[in-house]
Amino acid sequence: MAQPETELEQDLEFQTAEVKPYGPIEGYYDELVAPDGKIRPHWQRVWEKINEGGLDQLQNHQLLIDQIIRENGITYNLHNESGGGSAGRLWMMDILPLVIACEEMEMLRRGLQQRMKLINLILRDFYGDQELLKSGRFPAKLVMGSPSFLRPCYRMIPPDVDFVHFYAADLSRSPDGSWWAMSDRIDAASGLGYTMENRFISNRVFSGAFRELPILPIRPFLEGFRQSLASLGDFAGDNPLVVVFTPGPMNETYFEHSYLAKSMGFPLVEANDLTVRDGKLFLKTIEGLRQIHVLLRRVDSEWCDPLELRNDSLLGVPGLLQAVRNGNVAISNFPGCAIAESPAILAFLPSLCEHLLGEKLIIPSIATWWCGQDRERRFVLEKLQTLIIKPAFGYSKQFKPIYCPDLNPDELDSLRSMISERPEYFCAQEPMQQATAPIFNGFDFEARHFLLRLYMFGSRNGEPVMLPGGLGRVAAEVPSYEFSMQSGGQGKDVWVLSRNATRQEEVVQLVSNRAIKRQAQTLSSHLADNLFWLGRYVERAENLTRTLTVVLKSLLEESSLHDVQASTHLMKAILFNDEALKRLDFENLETADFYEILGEFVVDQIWRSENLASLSAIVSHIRRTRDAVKERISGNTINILQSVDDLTQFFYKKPAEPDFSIIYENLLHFLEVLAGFAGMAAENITRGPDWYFLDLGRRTERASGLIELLSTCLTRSQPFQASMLRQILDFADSTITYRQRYLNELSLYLVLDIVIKDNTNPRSLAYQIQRIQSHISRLPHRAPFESPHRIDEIADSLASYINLASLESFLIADSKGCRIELDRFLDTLIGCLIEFSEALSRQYFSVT
Amino acid sequence: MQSQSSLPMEQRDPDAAIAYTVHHRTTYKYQFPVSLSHHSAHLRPMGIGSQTCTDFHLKIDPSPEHIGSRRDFFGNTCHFFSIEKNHEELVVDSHAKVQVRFPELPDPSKSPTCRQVIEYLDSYGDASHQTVRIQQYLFPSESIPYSPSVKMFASPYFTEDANFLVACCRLALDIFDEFEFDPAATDVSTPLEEVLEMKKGVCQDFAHLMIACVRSCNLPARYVSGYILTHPPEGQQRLIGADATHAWVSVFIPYFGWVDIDPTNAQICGTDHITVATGRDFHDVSPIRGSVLGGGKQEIDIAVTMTPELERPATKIPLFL
Repeated sequence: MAQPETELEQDLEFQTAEVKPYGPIEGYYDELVAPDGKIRPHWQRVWEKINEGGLDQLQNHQLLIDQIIRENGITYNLHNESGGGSAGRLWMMDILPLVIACEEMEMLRRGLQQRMKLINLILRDFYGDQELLKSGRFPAKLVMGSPSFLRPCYRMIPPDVDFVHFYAADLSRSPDGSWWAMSDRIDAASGLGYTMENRFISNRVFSGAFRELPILPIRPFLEGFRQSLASLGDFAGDNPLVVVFTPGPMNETYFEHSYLAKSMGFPLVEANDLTVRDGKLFLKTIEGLRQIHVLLRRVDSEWCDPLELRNDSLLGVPGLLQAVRNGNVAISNFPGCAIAESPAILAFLPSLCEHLLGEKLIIPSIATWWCGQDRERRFVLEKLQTLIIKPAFGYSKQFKPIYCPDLNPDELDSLRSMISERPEYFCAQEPMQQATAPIFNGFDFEARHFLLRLYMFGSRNGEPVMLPGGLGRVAAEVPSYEFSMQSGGQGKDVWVLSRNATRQEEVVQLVSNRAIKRQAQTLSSHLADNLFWLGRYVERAENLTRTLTVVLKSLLEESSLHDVQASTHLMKAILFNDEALKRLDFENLETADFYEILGEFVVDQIWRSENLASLSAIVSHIRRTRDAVKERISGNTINILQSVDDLTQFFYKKPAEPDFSIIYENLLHFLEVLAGFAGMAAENITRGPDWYFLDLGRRTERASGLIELLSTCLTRSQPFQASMLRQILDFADSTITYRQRYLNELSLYLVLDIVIKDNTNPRSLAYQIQRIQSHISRLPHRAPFESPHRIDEIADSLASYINLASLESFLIADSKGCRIELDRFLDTLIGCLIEFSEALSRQYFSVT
Repeated sequence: MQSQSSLPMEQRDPDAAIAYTVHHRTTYKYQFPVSLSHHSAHLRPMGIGSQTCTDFHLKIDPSPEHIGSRRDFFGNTCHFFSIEKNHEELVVDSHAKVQVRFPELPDPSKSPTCRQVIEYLDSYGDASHQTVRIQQYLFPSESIPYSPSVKMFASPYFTEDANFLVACCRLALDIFDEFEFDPAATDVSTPLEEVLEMKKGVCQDFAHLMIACVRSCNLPARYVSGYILTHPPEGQQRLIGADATHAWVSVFIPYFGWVDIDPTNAQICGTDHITVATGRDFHDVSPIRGSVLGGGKQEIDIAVTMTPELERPATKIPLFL
């Protein structure tokens, strides 16, 4: 280790050598560089560490960041974006952290605690005695006229319970270095998941810095948050059920809903997973209804109960508020709290703070004037061209903040008359000269304005706990005050260095006082359904892709007419609905015709949009079900499926001139992805209901696919039977096994044995049914006992059909070349499988 | 101006209450079985001012697994119930006994001007609980959004120096004269601007329109849901179930209180009206609101029978004009 003196010298030297390219903007506070041009003390060691490897290394790191974001599928959704290929935009993270001095963070913590306490007192009053309104300390109009004041929430919770359990605030720094609150995030504050991901990424990129610098860890915050949520369900005894309540995959920040659920080990649920019975909230699970005690709510207040709030909401649970009133469910945060986000409230916080807490606001809010007051309105109208006008009651689609310095005189006039006409609806804020922080733009450093979002959760028996870090957001351009990701902003990790020089270790309890559990976490019906279908779609995609590659192979390689004819038949198996193909007159076609037909079918089968069974359609289903089960499956396993997104270009854009060798390569790559997922899933998923449903899906689909194939290709005798059998073995990945046993002798009898009866062949029908029987015997049998044995019965009869099948009889063809026995046998099996799938769905997926 | 002294003395006696029984039956028929339903209901007549609800019971078939009631933000009684067994039909019977006294009426000559009303509310009046609550009746609400065309229609009535109460009555009269009562023209989702354009609608539309007009001029008005007594033709029996739910408007007169005006019938509400609930608009006080699982299409049938203890002639209180 260097001596302190030399370290300082190095710092100075380093400053002159490396900081030159970064120039703060005149007139703004800069996080990194003090007015005297020196690096601020709390940044020094970090800046040194980050620049250790020079710009080249930063460039490499930035590439690594982008790769991690892609692999982990860290996305956010844009509003009004329809599904298909544009489901999610990738998160963007700047490599440079935002470093906050420890002492400053301590001050911010006290400030945040004060604001959270204040907001809880205000909400308690608004939804209770309304003394603040009656005494005129707060304008009644701002509550009574607000669309966010939800009357059904009036006296909904006991007066000693807080509305807000999880709180966030967006802060900004003014030129003199002081922090200001720009807004409070209360209803369903987002960003915590992204904050955790940012840290995960910077941990990987700057592992050296994290080893050597005392950067405060943020993981314990999440653990604390988990415990604190569970403690809200104390009324339920030792084992409250906590769930994360999301609007669903179309929501902007669905990624983090799933992330939070997964990392805290709580089920992620949507409205359809929930039901209110007897004034209590329940989760529909594969074992029946289970009472929920705590909701971490990510559905906006007014959408969460269609019975009492917005009745057009499909995102809510009818009866939820009644369950709250009955004291049967706690919500973080309770519905109704959105009113405290109204911009105009900021104008009254200082006086309310003095009145309610007898203190001055530690973190002041940005200067705000409500136009519903005469003096304030006159001031705003006079100074209009220098202000930002915001809706007093909160944002809407029609009303976004108006940045008046950008308006021309006509626009200013019309805004003035709008304000004069309905002044209560408007408030004004002073634009702040927000501080800047450095970003790395890929080549050098640049100063950008930023916002800092801090998070805090309440704890029942102590002070609220703040995350020792936060979410930094930088604007896309200079100057710009648009920090949203939609407008091209980026995220930043926030580092707080401990005063103690030692690195903070996460405390791991060596001995837990919890009983060991082997039982899986509650599995909702909805998730079980999605797991089952994910299994099916992955297998279906694999079947189709396999078939396509077999066919493409015959197109790309030199093949006999028989091979091509057989391929055409194979296509027919997957295209059993295709009338055009059925009408083909096989006898009179030349090889060249087959080539053309096959080429067309391959393209159709991948891209045709009206084809619901096309590969691109199946890929969409895989992505949808994958996203729905994300929080249940380990990162590495799901990440493999995430790479399906890399093939998006291929799957969603049909080429004008298809190049079969490129298609072939892409399909092979896709097969690898699918095989990788199958392997990881088999190795990594705990053997519990999750695994059983996923694998049941796969087995059911594999059996159906094979049956379809056999019934299309083998139920009639064909002149090109040898080619056909070869391709079937290929399709069933059983060629090698077959050759090892029987060398090159191709016999229908032996092929049938290996694909139907051989239960050592993991691709045979017998094997699939064996797995199915074993899985269902381990599934929970829920009450009321509808007919769990019906599922067993079907599986058992499938097994005995296969066991008792006489392969010899399958070989016999009648005068027209039809193998009636084989046909009948396959028909019976497919019927049973369909019935099996339906019975499973009735039993486990459609709990009401 | 027609004076209230034209009314027979005995009808103005505040102590002489008229007793009614009201039977309000709502029947839902579903296309498919409903496996779970949650409902909230505003059916119990209010006990306020000139009205007392002496008896009330709710009969629900099939009988709910869970039922309860609470006082809502507006002071109305709100029942909620849930049914957890399969059903294809739901019948909600509400039986009420209500006593209605002749209301205390304001002296229109002493009623404040529109400007005085606005100033009163802006200055917080006496800053009482009531004044705080009245603020909510100045703003748009779910079924009554802000509309420039409504404001244009309303402005001539509510000039600064106009007598607020009289202006409301003029507006009610014009709605009565110029708008056609036509149940086929609108449904619950018809926007106000359309009602204004067609000049057709039902009591709910007229109430919403009148409220929208008053509010567009920053003056306070609220929605009243209730029943009105119909008078059978001379010598005939009252028909069972022929009455209907009704809706009208209540406007706030500083230093006096709320005055109920019925634009559909161009009258001040008296002993023929029974108030069930008040709110900002229909959405706040709809008699029954539900959320069902399954069911498919549904048919709703509503039958109201309002019977006075003693048949008597209509007691129409004229508008203050």
